[in-house]
Amino acid sequence: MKRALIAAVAATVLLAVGVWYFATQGAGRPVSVTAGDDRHIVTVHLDTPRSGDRTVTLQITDRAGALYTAPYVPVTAVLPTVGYSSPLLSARPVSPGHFQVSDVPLMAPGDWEIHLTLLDPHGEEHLEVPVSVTY
Amino acid sequence: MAHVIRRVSAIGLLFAAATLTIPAPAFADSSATGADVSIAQSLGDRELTFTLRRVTSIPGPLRVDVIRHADNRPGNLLLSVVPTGADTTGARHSAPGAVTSRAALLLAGGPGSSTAVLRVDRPGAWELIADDGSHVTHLPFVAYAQATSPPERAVYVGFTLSGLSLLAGMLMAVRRRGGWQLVPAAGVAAGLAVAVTGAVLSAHLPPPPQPGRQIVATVANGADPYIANPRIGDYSRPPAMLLLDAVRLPASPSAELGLRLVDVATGNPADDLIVHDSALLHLMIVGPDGTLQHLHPARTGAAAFSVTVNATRPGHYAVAAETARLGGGVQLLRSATGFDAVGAARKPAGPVPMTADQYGVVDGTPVQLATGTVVAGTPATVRARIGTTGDLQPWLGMLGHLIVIGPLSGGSDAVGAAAQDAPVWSHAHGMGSQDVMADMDMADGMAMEPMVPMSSATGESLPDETVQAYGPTVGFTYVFPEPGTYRAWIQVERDYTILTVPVLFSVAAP
Repeated sequence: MKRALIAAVAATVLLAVGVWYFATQGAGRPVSVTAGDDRHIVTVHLDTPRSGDRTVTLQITDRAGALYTAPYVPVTAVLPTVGYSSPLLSARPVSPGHFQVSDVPLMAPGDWEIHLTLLDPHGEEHLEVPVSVTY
Repeated sequence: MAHVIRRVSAIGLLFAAATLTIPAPAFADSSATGADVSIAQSLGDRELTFTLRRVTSIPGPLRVDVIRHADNRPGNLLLSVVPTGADTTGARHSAPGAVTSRAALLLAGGPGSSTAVLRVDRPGAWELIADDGSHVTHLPFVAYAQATSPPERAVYVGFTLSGLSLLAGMLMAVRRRGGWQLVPAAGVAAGLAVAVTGAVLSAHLPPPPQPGRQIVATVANGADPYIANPRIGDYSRPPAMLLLDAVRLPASPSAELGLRLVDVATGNPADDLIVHDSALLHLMIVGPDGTLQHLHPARTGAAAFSVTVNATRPGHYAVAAETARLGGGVQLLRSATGFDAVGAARKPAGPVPMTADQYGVVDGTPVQLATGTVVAGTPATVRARIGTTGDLQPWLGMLGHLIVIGPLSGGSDAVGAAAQDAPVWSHAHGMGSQDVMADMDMADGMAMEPMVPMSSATGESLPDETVQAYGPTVGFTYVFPEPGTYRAWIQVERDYTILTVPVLFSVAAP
């Protein structure tokens, strides 16, 4: 009887560990993507990379580490495989170097691109950051 | 005595179990994603081929071989590499976008190969920047790390589980007996089942989408392409449009022409070209005197290209570009405007095109054509014997190229304008023939010579331009869609020089 109980507990613990391991491998967890060019570094943070209207947070610095300041950052979400572009949105500053835009229409799963435009004394700069969106 | 035998056999089986437990190093052969990449570039007045050798370890060296052609002017190329792939793995490297490695490459005069070695420190998307002092090009490439596929992982996990269970079972058998012995025995069976299933299935599972060819390459998927999620069936993108930065250029032997590619669906710049037939963009320009220029513009920025055109003769030039976007699908983009070279300079008329079954000398090379009667709607085989010994080199991975434009009307003084409105603009390839004997009965004994291999099942490097062993006959089979007069150009490479043979076809009605 005691042996059977030990076996049952061990099997349950093993099963629970296995289920927890595979469950946390799934998609849909918050994602942070860093891209850059020779002037700026951008980190796009998406709390829920699932299709729907989502909030996107941007952290922008120049290559030396100085935080980017601007009244807003023009942002578009593009799904290139379908040929879809969202309307032009404005990401507003929430703290120095951090900008946030809500209700970005990531309406289908796929490999999206967040297009943003930055402005500095050297001129206008366009950056594209790839983000994978799942169901 | 019996217990000695038992102990010895237990120790022996222990050793066997131990060898099963230690997993062998995982060296996956991802040959499809790790081949050498050849990119042809027309940088200023130089025609160069950049060969980026396969990166075998990351971090590790990237070897760049630059093949020079016969008319190469000596000079220097400054090479640098920039990681451009988006990074989700955390701050283990410097942020993408800044140059991480530089090298200088000496370009000697004349034909040959020059080498430089750079360093890549992470997998994913990169850019090679080549600067010759007056022209710069940014060439995208992907550094792939060795990845273990899920079936391979299953094999290793399965065998490790079997080994450990066997070890446990041995220890249990030596110490005591009982019902618990079934547990490690079941572990051995389960482990072996997982490993064998993984091994058998691995040959039948579809490959993951290839970063840099089907999906955007990032640091994460360059390290492991199996993480791609979601898996969609269709990676293709809408077509692109070709826009010229200028429609009027001053007539000059080296006029700079800027080009842009735009996505048809969104109007955004289409900055996702992939290397197709050894170039990002194949530009074909037909001048007013019937000369063809087949160039490979330098990528100067996102979706922006620049090329130096010989626009000596004033008149209209028709322009078309052949390219492929990420996700596949080759497209031929004909510029709706072309450009006009404006000036008063006059130049002697262009080369007189050859006609069917004619013998001629082009740039000092004897050329014999064999076309037979060409009828619209029926496949016509055009054969050209270039030179007398088989010393043709593969150009852009092919034995020969045939560009066909027509039906044309008008004289030989406004070919560019006629090409602008021509219904048919084609680009065919000649590869040679796998079966040399099959064509021995053709006219003039022009059997087709051994084929230029297009792909390798074992992932080895294919013969590049330095192999001078093909030909002398190159053949093309083409169906002329409509009757009329067509202008065609056969391009082959011989003695590190691109030879362009102009041909005039009179295609009869069916």
